[in-house]
Amino acid sequence: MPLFRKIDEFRFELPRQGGMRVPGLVYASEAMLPKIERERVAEQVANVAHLPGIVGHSLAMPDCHWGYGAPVGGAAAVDAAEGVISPGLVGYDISCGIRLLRSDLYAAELKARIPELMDGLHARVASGVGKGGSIRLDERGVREVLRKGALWAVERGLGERADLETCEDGGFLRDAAPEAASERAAERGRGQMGTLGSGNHFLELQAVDEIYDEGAAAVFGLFKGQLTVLVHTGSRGLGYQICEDALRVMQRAAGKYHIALPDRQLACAPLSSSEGQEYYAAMCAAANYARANRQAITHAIREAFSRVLGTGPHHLGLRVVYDVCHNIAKYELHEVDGKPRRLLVHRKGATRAFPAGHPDVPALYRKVGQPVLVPGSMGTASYVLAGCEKAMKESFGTACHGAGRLMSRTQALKLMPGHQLAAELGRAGVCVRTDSYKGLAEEAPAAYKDVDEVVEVCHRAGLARKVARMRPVGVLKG
Amino acid sequence: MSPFRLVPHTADVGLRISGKTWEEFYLSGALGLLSLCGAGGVPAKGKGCKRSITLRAATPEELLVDWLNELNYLLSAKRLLPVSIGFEKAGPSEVDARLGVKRGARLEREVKSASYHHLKVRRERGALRATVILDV
Repeated sequence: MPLFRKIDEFRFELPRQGGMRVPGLVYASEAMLPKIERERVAEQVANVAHLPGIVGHSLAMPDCHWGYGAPVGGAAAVDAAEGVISPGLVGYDISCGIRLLRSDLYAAELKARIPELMDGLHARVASGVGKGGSIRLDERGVREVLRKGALWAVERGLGERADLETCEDGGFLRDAAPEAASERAAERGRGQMGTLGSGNHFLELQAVDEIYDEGAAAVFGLFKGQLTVLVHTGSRGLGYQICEDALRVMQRAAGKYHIALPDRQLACAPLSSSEGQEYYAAMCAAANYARANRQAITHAIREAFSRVLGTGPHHLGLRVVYDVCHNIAKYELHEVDGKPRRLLVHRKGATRAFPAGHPDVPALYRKVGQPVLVPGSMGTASYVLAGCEKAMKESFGTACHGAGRLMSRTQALKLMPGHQLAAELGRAGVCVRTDSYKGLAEEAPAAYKDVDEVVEVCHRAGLARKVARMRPVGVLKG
Repeated sequence: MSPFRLVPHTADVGLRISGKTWEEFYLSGALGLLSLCGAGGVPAKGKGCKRSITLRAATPEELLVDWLNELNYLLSAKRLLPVSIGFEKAGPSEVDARLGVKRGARLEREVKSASYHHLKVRRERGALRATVILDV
């Protein structure tokens, strides 16, 4: 018996059953659905629907796949007054996100220098397991980062004020309480500022190869043939520790507030409770670390470009197109049943996608909508989308965050060894630098869903519209 | 029989552990975590020292998550590689372990954390068993 009820070409409803407080809603194509059903995504969407205070639907984006607690690619909004906050519905890598830099350079003109650029980036951007960055912080310094986010980095000379104008929230969350992060979390943040990490984190040089929306692309500063830089990383060990600390507290809180959930990973507390408020403040602090981290990496990228190409970053035009996270819980105003309502929107592996005219979209982009950055795998395209009005009405202004994994790391390792994969990518015009060929093999393009199909569903379902497509020409993997 | 098994998961990794006693059970978890991190080798010149891990929890599931996360903290944050583990106490609600560790642990993989996802410690066919999903 099918789990989902088809609403239209790209929307499938999971009807309410058992303790579900709202139905589930999955955005997918008919072709994607069997895999989603096999993977027990429905079970995780249903689990999220049990959260007290949830409104609308428990959502899953087209890149969704089996996670823990909630599906990756999941989103849920709860009433700000009566709802709960769930660290498991944010994830361990708090405010993990994507930053896109544009340049005034043409990728084709630099083709012969891409290996040099990749060497320069590899030397300056710390990547891989256990690689510390060149920025060492004491505990006071960490707490400054937690308060100021990307602004901290800019004040330290690691960027310009203009960088912050095109970052989500202007580069930092004002609700952060640095003191809410444990000593252990702060300790873990001391040596990891400006580091990429490992796993699915990356830095890529890309070439814009298709423009779908000339007007929006021009507003974002994108043009065909342009060299861009895409960065994917988050709050590193500090964020993991804050999530870990909170989950331990929430195991107790769930009992204290009589909240019954089908999965302990979703343990939560009322937003109004001390436990809920403490986690929210600490989560915002971790989000600021992530944003500072991507800003510090931006500075290292500019330095690498300047050194290799022998000219200053201003001549290269390396500007921030946008910086947006995909693991977060944020207070937002949405219309529910025709009335404005303050909600806390949890997004785990899902990207905020606000439309034109929304006050939270940077002033520069307010006429066209918020850029939604969707990376593919290292052998496939990445996309720049723009938020649409329909997403505000249906998905609390949410769209996909990537291609979404298709196979486990164990399966991916069986596809081909990392050295062979690097050579194949090289023949396809993608210059690879990595600290771990095993890690590279786990991230093989075939381990991911077809990003073109994922983006097409977002576009045609009206969650976010296509603006530009980019192809990788250089990949740095930790 | 291997005291642990890695179980495929789309985005992360499952670690299936077992032991006839609580000591064996927690040791199985530790060995699985070390294997997953690729931290099997001992740094030959690493300086040795001792560490204690003392944990209390309301349920065996919480205790198992705490145990794995504490070991992961030593590995990934402190770069301390456990080379010996002895238990003073081990049970469903407490662990008191003495570890011999060496500095300079080199890891192949970063584990973010152990999760509570569908975690259940059960006694089955004469052994304690559990499957933990680790975020990697």
